[in-house]
Amino acid sequence: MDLFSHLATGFSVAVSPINLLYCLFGVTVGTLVGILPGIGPIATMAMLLPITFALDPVSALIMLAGIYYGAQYGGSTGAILLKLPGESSAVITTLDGYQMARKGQAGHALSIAAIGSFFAGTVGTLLLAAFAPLLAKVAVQFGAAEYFSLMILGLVAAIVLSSGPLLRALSMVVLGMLFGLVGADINSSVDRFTFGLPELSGGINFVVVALGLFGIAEILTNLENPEERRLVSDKLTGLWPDWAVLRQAAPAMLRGSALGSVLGVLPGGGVTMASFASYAVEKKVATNPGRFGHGAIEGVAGPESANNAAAQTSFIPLLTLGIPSNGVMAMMMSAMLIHNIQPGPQVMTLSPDLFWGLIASMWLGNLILVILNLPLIGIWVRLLRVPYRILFPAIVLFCCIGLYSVQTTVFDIFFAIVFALLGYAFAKLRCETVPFLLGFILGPMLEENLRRAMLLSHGDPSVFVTRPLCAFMLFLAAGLLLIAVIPTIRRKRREAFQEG
Amino acid sequence: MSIAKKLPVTRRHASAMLGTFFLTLAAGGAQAQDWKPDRPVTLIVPSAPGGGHDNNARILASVMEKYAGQVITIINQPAGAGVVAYNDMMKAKPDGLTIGQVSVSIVSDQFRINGVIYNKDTYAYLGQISADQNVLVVKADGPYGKMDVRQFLAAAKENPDAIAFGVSGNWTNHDYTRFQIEEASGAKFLRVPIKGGSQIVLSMLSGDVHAGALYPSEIKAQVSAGALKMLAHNGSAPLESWPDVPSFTSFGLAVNLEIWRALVMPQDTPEEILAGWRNILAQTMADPDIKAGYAKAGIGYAYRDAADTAKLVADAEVAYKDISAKAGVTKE
Amino acid sequence: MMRLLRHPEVLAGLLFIILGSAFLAVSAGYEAGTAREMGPGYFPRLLSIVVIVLGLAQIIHATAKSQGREAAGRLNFHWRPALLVLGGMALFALMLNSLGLILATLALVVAAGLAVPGRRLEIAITAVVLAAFSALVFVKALGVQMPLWPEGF
Repeated sequence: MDLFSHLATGFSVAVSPINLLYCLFGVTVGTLVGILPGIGPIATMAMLLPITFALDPVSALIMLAGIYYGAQYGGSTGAILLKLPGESSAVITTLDGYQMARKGQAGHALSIAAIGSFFAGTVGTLLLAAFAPLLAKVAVQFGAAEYFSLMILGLVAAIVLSSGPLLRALSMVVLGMLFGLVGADINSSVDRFTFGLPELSGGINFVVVALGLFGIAEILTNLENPEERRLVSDKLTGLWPDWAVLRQAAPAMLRGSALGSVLGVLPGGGVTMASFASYAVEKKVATNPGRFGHGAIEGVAGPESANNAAAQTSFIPLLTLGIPSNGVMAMMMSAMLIHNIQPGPQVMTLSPDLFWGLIASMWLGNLILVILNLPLIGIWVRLLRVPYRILFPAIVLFCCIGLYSVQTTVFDIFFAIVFALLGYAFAKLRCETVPFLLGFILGPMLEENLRRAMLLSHGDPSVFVTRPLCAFMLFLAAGLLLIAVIPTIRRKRREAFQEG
Repeated sequence: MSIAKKLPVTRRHASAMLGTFFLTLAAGGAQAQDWKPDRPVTLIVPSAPGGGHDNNARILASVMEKYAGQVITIINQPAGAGVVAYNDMMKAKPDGLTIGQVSVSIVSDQFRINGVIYNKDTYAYLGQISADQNVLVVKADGPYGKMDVRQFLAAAKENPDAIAFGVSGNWTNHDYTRFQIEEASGAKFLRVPIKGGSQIVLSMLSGDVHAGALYPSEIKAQVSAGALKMLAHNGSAPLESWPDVPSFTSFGLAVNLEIWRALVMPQDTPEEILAGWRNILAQTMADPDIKAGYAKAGIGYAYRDAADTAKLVADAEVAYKDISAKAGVTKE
Repeated sequence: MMRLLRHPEVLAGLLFIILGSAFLAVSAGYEAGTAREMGPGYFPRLLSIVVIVLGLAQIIHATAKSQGREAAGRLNFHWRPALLVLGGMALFALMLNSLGLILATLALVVAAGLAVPGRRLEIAITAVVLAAFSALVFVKALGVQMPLWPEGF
C-alpha cells in the first residue's frame, strides 16, 4: 500500500536525533507560551523564524509545527487550571475543565485532555496522510452561503451548550456578536463603535475579551470570599484517570476526533468551531446532560480531542491549496517560502520528503507532547497548592504582560479592565460568558458571509435553500434549536399544570 | 521549571550563530567613519506576524544586522491597520535606534481615514526596500478562463456587475487597482470585499468570485498548479516569476499603481544618523542574500536611495490624491 | 418594585436593554443599505433590536412569575478587591512605557495584594520575585518588547 510506504519515508526523515530534538524544543516552547496568557504561538514562531534560516527545511517546519501543538495544549492547561483560555479553541474547556479542577480533579482533566489530544492527533494525522487532496476538495466547496449556514449552526450550538436559561444564553450570544462587530467594517471601511480610537479599528482582540471576561473576572469573584479562596479542595484525587474514567471519556474522544477532523479542513473558522460543536454534541448525546457545566469528563475529552484533530487537518488547505487558513498557518507558509518550498498542490510531488516528513513529525510531535505533559501534570496541580493570595497577583501580572504583547500597546490592558468589570457583572447576574465569547468570535464572520452571499446572489435570499450543502446545515441548525427548546416548553407546561 | 531553563540556552546558541554571521561579513563592508548604532535597534512593522509586510521586514532585518553591527528587533503593531504604527514612527525618539517600515498607505491613508496626520512630509526616508505588483487573475476552468485580457475586459464592459471581483476591503491596494482597471477600460465589476488576498484566492476556487488583482506571492501556488490564469499586471517592469505576463500599460491601459515599501525615521533625526543608516541600507540592498530571500518569499526586489524614494513617495501622493478624488473616496 | 430590581433576571434584562440601546444609538449613525448591499449599519441595528427585545422578554418573564425560581438575594458587589485589582492593572498600563516593567510590576502586585487582608511583608516579597521572574522570562527569554527600567536609567 502506497500510504504505508509514504509514511515510512516520512518517519525515516523525521526520526533523526536532530529532528527529534527540534520537535522536543518546539513542543516545549509551545507549551510554555500556550500556558502564559496572551503570548500566542504566532509571535513565538515569528521570533524563531530567523533561526530557521540556518536549519534544514524539515527541521525548521518540525520545530514550528511543534510550537503550534504545544501552544494548543498549553492553552487548555491554562483554561483548566485558572479559567484562562489562551486560544479561542480552549474557551470551551473552561466550562467543565475548570469545574473539575475546582473539585480537585485537575489531574484527571489534564490527563484526559492530553490523552484525548494524542488520540485525536493520531486520527487527524492519518486522515491528513490518506485523504489530504480529497479533503481539500471539501474546503473549496464552501462559498459565502455555506459559511453563513455553518456559522448559524455554530451559534445554535452555542445556545445549546449553555446550562442556564435559554433566553439569557441567546441574549448573551447576540450581545457577544455586537461586541465582535467593533472595528472597521471591511465592506465600507467605516469604523464602527470605535469612538475615534485607532486602537479599536482593527476590532477588539480575542485575547482581551477572553482574559478580561474569563480570567480577571474569575479572580474578582474568587476574592470575594477570602476564607475559601483556594482553587483546589484538599482532597485531591489521583492524577491518572482509572479505567472507568477513560471508558467514560473514550466515546467522546472518538466523536470529537471525527468532528474536529472534518471542521478543521475549513479555512474560515473551522478550527474554532470544532471544540464547541463537539461540546454541543456531547451534551446532546449524554444520558444525563445536567452534569455538563459541573465537571463532566466528556465536556473536556470531546472538545480537547476536537480542537487537536482540527489543528492537524487545518494544515490541509495550506499543504494542498497553498492557502493559509489562520495566522499560524501564515507563519508556516512564510517558513516554507524562505526555504524555497511553495506550499500548494505540487508540494506532495515536488518535495515528498518534506511533505511526508512533516506529516510523520506531526504524529511524533503529538507523542512527545503527551510524554512531556503527563509528568508535568503533577507539577501543574501542585502549582494550585500555592496560596491564592500569592497566585492571583501573578496571574493578573502575566495577563497584563500578555495583553501588552499582542499588539505592543498598553491600550489592550485598559480594554481588558472594561471586560473584567462586564464579566464581574455578568457573573452576578448569572449570565454565562461562554455563549458571549462564541458570539463574539462568530458574529463578524456571520455578518461578512451573509453580506457577501447576498451581494453575490444580487439580493436573492433563496441561495440559502437552493444550495444543497447550505440547506442541509440550516435544516440541522433548526432541528438542534428545536431539540433545545422543546424541554423548556414541556417544563413550562408541567409547571403551569401544577400551579393550576 | 525545566521549560523556562531551556529557552535562554537556545537563544544564546542562536545569537552565537548570528554573531559569527556578522563577524565574517562585517569585515568586508562599511567605511570606518560612518555613524553606526551603538545599541540594539527596533524596526516597527505596521502589520501582524506572517504575511508580506512582516516577511519583508524579517528578511531585511536579518541581512541588515550584519551591516548595522547591532541586533535589529521587529515590533509588530497591527493596531488600526497601521495607523498606530505610523503615528509611533513619527513620534519616536530621533536617536537612530527606531526605524519604521512603511508602505504606500502612508500617503493614501490621509484620503480615506479621518484624523490621519501623516503624509509624504512627516518622515525622513532611508530608501525603498521592495515593490509589489497586482496581477489580474481568473479561475482557469471558470467562465472567463479561456479569455485574454482584452476579451475579459470587453465581457466586463458588456455585462456590468456580472463579474464578481474580490478586493480585500474598501480602498485597499487591491481595490484601487480594481478602480484603475474600470477607469481605464470602461469595465464594471461587482466589487466583493473579502478579508485578505489568500481568502480571495479561496473564494475564486469555490466559484464565489471570478477575478481579483493579487500579489504574486498570493497566487503563486495556484498559478503553478494551473488553477488560476494570469491576464495582466500593473507593474512597470516584467514580473520576476512570470516575465511573459503582459502589463496593463502594454495595452495602453493606465493601470499602474505599484505597491512599494520603504524605511523611514522621524523627521527631526540628525543628518549624520540618517547618512549612516542610508549607507547601511544601501549595503544591505546590494547583498545577494536580500535578492535570494525576496525571491523565495515572493517579494519584488526594488531599491531606491533616499532622494529617489522621497520623489517616489511624493509622486504616489499626487497619484492617490487624484484617483481618490475621481473615485469619490470619502474619509471614514 | 424594589424587590423586582434585586431579581437577577430583571437586572440582566435591564443590562441587555441598556447595552442594546447603546449599540442601537451608535449604529443609527451608520448607513443601513439594502438587503442586497448591506451597509455598515444593517447588521448591528438588527442585532441591537434583538438584544433589546430579548431583554424586555426576560423582564416580562420575571415579572409574570409571581415568585421567581432564582432567589432574589442581594447582589453583593465586592468593590474593594475589584477596584484594587483593576486599579493595579490600570497603574501597570500607565507606568509600563515610561517607567519600565520592573516598577510597573511592583505597583501592580502591591495594589492587587492589598485586595486581601494582612501579610504586608509577603506582598513585598512576592512583588520583587515576580518582577525578577517576568523580566527574565518575558523580556529576556521570550523577547517581549518592553522597557525594563525608566528611560535613561
